[in-house]
Amino acid sequence: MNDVHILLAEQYREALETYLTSADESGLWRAYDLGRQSLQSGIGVLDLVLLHRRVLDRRFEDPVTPAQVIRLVDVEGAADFLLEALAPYEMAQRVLQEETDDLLRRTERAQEASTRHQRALGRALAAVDRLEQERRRLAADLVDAEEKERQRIAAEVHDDSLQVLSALDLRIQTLVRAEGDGERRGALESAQEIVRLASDRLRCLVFDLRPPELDRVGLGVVLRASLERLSAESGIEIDLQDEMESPPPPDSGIVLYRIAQEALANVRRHAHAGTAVVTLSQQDGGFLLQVRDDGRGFDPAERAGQSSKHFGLTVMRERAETVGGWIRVESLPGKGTVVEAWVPGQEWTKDGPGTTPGSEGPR
Amino acid sequence: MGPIEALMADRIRIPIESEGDIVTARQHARALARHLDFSPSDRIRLVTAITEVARNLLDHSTGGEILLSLAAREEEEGVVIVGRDHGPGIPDVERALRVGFSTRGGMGLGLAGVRSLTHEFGMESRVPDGTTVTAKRWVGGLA
Repeated sequence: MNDVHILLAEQYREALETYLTSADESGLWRAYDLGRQSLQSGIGVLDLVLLHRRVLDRRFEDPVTPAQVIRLVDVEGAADFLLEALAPYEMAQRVLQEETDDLLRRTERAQEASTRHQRALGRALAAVDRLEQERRRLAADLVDAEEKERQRIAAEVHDDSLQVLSALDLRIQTLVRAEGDGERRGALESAQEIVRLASDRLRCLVFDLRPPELDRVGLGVVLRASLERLSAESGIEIDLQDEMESPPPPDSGIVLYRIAQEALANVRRHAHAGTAVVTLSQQDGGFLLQVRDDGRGFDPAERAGQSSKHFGLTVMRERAETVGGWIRVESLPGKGTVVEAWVPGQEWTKDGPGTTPGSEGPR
Repeated sequence: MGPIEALMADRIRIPIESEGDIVTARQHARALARHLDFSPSDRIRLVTAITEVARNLLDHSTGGEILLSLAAREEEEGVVIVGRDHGPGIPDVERALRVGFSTRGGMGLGLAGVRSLTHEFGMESRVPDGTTVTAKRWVGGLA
């Protein structure tokens, strides 16, 4: 009991005494008001009834006059007073009941809404999932189609164009032999050289389009041949560090080879680099290709979107993802560029999700 | 003229300007409840509802008036309580009925309490014309 409670108890006692002396509406109003104050100051309904009883008990203890004795038995008056004092408690109980019912109804509605939203979200996520699968499938188809088209063109060039040039070469050779020394022989020999140059270039094209014997001689060896040619043509010093102990699966090998080609084409076209280092290694149960140059680099944030198109990053990424791998490009203006591509060591099924621990740009 | 006679004639109008007027309103309500044969506990509920309307007029306004009249429908009888103040009106009636809302402190049970103790309850407020609360309680009906 705090001071407020003691004060209220005293006021209650006085008001009840007064009411028992002269029962009128203002006494009942007082009872009601005290009941309201009790409720407001946290006095429990049982406390209030016990307080009421204590006040009555005390009247029984020291009856003084016969008139008081008669009023002692004014049970009805005391009860009316108590009922008025309890009326605010009933009101509060009713209001709280209404509030509780309302809260329960609203909670129920909120739960229903939440369930609906969750279902909608689940459907949306499933749709996103299906679209992502569809996208991957299309990307895989695209990469596959591109590879097939390259093979077809390579076969065409190899089996047709190169044969024709070879025949031409033989014919010129025959003509050269038939000629004595002289101006015509020189002209023929020069024509023969042009034909051979064209043949060489077409062979390079065939080699690029369809790297021969990737699974037989290994990625490192094929890449080295390619790099040497690029180095000779571009003047960029290119170093290959082959730390692979076993060859990647054929599909993954092709992917790494194509990404290396694309990355090196970028180095040649855009980087203004003096040197580039290509590293092949084994990591996290897969194979990692790293192409690092000392060129002018770029700001990936600034050129997000356009750079990915420009540098064929999208195509490189699609390629990596078709075998369950990933690609990461890090670059800063003036600090060169690093392209990393990882492919899994095991054959990858297209249903499984690709692991993508990194993303394009510096971390 | 006693309260019942006044009611039969038209209705009882009680100006509420002080706590003493609350007592008067309670007296009229109690007499009316007895006349209409409300049960003892329903009598107290009706008186409580009128008390809270009156308190509200004093607490949240500069006073007003309460009109008590008889209501009848089919075989039922009841009491209509109308509380009117002299402005300034409440912009958000819904909020005023929420438990805990009170612009002058206190428990804010007031009008929500009136609603819980009566069968029909309505409140209209127009800034700056003032607020009118109408509540009906039938004999019998809900406890």
